[in-house]
Amino acid sequence: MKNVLSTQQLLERIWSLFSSNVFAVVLLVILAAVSLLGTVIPQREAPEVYLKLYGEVFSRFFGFLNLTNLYAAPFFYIILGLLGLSLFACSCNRLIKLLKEKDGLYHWGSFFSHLSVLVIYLGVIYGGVAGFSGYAQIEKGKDFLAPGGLFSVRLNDFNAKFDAQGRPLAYTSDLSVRENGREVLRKTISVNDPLSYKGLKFYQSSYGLTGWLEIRGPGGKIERSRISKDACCAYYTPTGQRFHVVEMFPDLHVLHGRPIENYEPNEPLAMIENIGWLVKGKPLKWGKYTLKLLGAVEYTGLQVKKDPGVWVVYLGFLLLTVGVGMVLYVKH
Amino acid sequence: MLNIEANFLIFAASAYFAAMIAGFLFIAFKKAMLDRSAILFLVVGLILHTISLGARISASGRLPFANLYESMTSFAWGIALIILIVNYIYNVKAAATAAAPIAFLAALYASTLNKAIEPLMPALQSNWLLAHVGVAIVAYGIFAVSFGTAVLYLVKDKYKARWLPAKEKLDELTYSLIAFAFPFMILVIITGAVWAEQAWGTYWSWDPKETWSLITTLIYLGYLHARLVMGWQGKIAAWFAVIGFLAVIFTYLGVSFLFSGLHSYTQ
Repeated sequence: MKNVLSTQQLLERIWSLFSSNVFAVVLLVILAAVSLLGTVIPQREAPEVYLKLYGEVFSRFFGFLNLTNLYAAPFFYIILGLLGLSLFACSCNRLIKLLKEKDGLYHWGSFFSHLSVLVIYLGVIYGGVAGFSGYAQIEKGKDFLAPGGLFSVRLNDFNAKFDAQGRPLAYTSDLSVRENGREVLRKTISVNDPLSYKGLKFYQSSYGLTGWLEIRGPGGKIERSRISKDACCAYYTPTGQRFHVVEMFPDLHVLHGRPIENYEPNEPLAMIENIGWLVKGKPLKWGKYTLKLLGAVEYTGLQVKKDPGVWVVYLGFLLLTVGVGMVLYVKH
Repeated sequence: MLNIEANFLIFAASAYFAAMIAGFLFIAFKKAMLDRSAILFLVVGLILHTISLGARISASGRLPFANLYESMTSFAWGIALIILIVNYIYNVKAAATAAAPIAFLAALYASTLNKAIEPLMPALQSNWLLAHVGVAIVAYGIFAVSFGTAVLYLVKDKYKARWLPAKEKLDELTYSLIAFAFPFMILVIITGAVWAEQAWGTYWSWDPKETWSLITTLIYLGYLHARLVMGWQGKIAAWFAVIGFLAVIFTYLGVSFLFSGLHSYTQ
């Protein structure tokens, strides 16, 4: 009997701690301070960056404390979790008050505002558990099998438009959704206008060029290599000769000071490190090698996302707006 | 068109400067006439400023919300308008003294910025831009005025200046302004989140600008709780309001200049 009572007492203590204003304010201050720290220390950079900024001791110390990926660190989730519990306790207390008293709008507003943050939490958690986020790179004319395998997305065309000064005006991808070999939906997406299909969303995120390099080596041996504008990879011949693509352009005109209006690889060219410009259709001799740019095709980079929790988050936003408005705009 | 836009902005800044001086003289000489002329200068400044903004809008064909110059000149315009509204509704003396300096500084700073009309970059081509920057100008503008009234409160508290409005009135006014602006601050974050979801597929990514807008919101949230729940008033509330607006400034300007991120539109 005594034991049961002390458990109840303990629970009451915990409850009164979580529903105390001081506890909530302390948590908010901690949240603000820790968030601030994350804007001062660059987040998710390469180890070299921290080494250069803070020296060896501090960069290791920061890494050990998770301060370099702070918003995904366990202690940050603990702060958010405690704040959630505090909000829950506050919401319950407000509800109890509401049921006892009849002082309407202000207390309802207060209840809604506190509850709304919990609703947003739920939406974020639901989205995190039931959703995912990734990246797809699709070449013109190629298909990308959507995660889940229910349909595929084909890039019919990509276009980047620039004005006369070379400033970007629009990035668009003409996409087809295909199911069982048939097109079921076609849409041209742009940066603020994603494609949505069966719970998945495709966002215009990046673009580039990919091409084919033909290398004729000593003895007439021909090799082909995929090259890319991102210059991620260098191509090595078996004898150790290195061809590194620094840049690729879709059109020669961009070199003559005239910016391209439409992003079509009509006369693609690639800059090969230490060698020079390689233009499509104009083979280049380099020592024992002959280089040829066979052609290039544009690709689009799409952010692929499934987030079923987003509507819960938006419901929380609505509740937050209404609740805060009721607290602050209604006379009491 | 650039001449009308640039010249009238400088005229407006000059009028705001005159309003600021009249406001300071009001404090020095305690003549009600000086406070009235400060308000009059603000009205003139607002008209001149509106002409400048009108020229910008007709030249660019859109609302002036897209880069630092455009948002800064709109911010200054908003502050001037809000001071006049506060003066009209609350009939409080020294409203111009409190906030005309901020309107002047913002207009002056805007006049030094690059005014070239740039095409909207693809990420900004959205109606959410209007909603997001529109509510930000309202929220930040009112916070600016609340900063001014909080500073007046602290001045009154320290120097017992009799010609300033009563402390209780300044305290109440500061609270009313913050209470009115806070839902707009919430809307700044919400419109930004919904827009980011539409443009990038994520409604929150702890970008420095996002994080600082959250910190600013938390500070004002602290102010509102301290007042409504714990009954804090007076000096500590005034300091809260001052710190809140410093966070606004940092969110608006500091983040853009010190950190790189998704909001790097300041060139």
